[in-house]
Amino acid sequence: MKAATALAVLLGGHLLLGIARLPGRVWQRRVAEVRAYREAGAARFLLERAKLDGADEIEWLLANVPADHVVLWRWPADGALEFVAALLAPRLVVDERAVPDDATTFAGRPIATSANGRIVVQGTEHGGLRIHGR
Amino acid sequence: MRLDRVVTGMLLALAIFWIGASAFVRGDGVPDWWLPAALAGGLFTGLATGRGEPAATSEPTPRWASWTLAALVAVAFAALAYGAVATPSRHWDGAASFDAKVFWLTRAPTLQQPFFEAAGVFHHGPDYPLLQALLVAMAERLAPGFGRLVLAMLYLLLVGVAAAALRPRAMPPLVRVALTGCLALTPALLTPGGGAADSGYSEVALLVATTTIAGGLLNRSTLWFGLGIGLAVVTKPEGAIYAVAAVAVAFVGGNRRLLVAGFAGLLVALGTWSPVRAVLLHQPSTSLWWQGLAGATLACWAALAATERLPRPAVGRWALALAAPLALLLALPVIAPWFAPESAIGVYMRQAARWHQGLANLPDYLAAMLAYGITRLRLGLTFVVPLAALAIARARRAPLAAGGVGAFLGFGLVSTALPFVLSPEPDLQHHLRSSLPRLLLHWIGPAWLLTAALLQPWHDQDPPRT
Repeated sequence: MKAATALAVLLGGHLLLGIARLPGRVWQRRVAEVRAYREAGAARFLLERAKLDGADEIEWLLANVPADHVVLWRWPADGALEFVAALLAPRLVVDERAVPDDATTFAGRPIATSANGRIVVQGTEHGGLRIHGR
Repeated sequence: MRLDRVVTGMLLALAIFWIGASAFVRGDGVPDWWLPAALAGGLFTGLATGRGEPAATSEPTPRWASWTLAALVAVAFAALAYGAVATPSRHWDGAASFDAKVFWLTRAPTLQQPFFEAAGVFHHGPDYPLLQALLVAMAERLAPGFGRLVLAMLYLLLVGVAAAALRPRAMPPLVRVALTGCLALTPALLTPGGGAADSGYSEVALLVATTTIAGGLLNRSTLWFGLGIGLAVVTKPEGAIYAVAAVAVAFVGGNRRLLVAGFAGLLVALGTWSPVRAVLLHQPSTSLWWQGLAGATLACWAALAATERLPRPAVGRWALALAAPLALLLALPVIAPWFAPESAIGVYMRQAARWHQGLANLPDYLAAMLAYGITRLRLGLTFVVPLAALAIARARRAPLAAGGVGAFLGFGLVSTALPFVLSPEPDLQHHLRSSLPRLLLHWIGPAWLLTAALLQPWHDQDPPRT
């Protein structure tokens, strides 16, 4: 009987923990998270939550590179660079080593350039992003 | 309409969808009618031919209990549906990896486009299995803006799988309802964060697969066992390891019917996934993977033949089961080159030759297991309850009827050490923090079904009330 009571207490404790979290942690936190995402925009929300820099660079690329273009990237690929391909879509993000120096297109898409040459995005040692050729 | 038949129908629908989609996606694209056709086909088959186990007790479930559970699940489902649809993914892997695949597959559900085909394109986790991404993409094409509802529907399917798996168990209906509620209300499934059901990660889809496997073991359902194994392989890279663990459990248990079903699920999944994976990894030929499939088929036949020759009770099988992981560990440096270095498993295989150095990570891993599995309560008391039930069952000398599920859960929990023994990350604590909670999440379904199996003998022993 004592064993059954102990197990009932454990099961009840687990259920109560789950139920108690529904109003606050499940609903309120989710609503707040959605609001913060909408206010900050995808790039700033995701990178700041991940404690990474680079939101300004992503927003610059979104504003200055047409949607059908290719943006080149340079190693290292960790940190904020992991988000670049998803946040810049439908722009393709392509390893600059896979593109010949004199190429102007990749897979039929124009490669993004500026007056300073090809635009290349690179991860920094501090988890941010650097744009070459801006 | 019986819940278990609907659930079986949904699991069949997922399998049918994947088998067709894996072929279509390598060609001109998955047709928009394929998702509804697979759903209709799976549900029809499940309802028409499903031989759901009869409920083990005629004692009716109190109506208040059923309605309370339904209301709680509805509140949770509503939160997940809102969270899934309100924005794209709001956490790391969901946004960086899964959303990118879904974006391109929604525009054109084919691999014949530069994002997947062209070497050099930044593609995070290129060889992650595509079942969930294809499901969301095809749903998005049918109902723009609502495709991510699939994520919340997978949560409902998970609850349904647990409820249907518990249905044939002889136990008081209230306990059955409570166990289903325990799984449904696990904090890590519902609290916003990486791995939550609406996060865009594939954790819940894989949890559906592991819970289906455990349900198959619990109720000796060959259909569920094979379906769960197949779905695990095409959902996440670690699903293949779980599938092999499930087959090993059937082998050790000497259950030939389950073993055949497990092999069928494994081989169909490998046969459909391998050619897709070859395209994603830009491999010029699929011959390496077909060789692997042929090798796996041979191993399956050898294991089936061995089940007839090995002694029973299975001392020999247990010895083999214990020797197998050791042999695998020693063989790692040999098989490592078979995995592409950029693949999800390949990044760990690069460390294979130094696995013995990785053993030094075990103390940190065990401390993290305690924190993320128990003390932080992210999983509630999921792993405490079966331990308590086991201790009490031992003390009462109750017969244990949980061998298969217990072994599967044991294999699974031990397998969570592998990524940290072979960790490619210089920052082990970061790796533990970001990965271990999600790996543990894959095992909460089997843990609750194990609890059910451990509780059942108590019910059997209790004298009938007069």
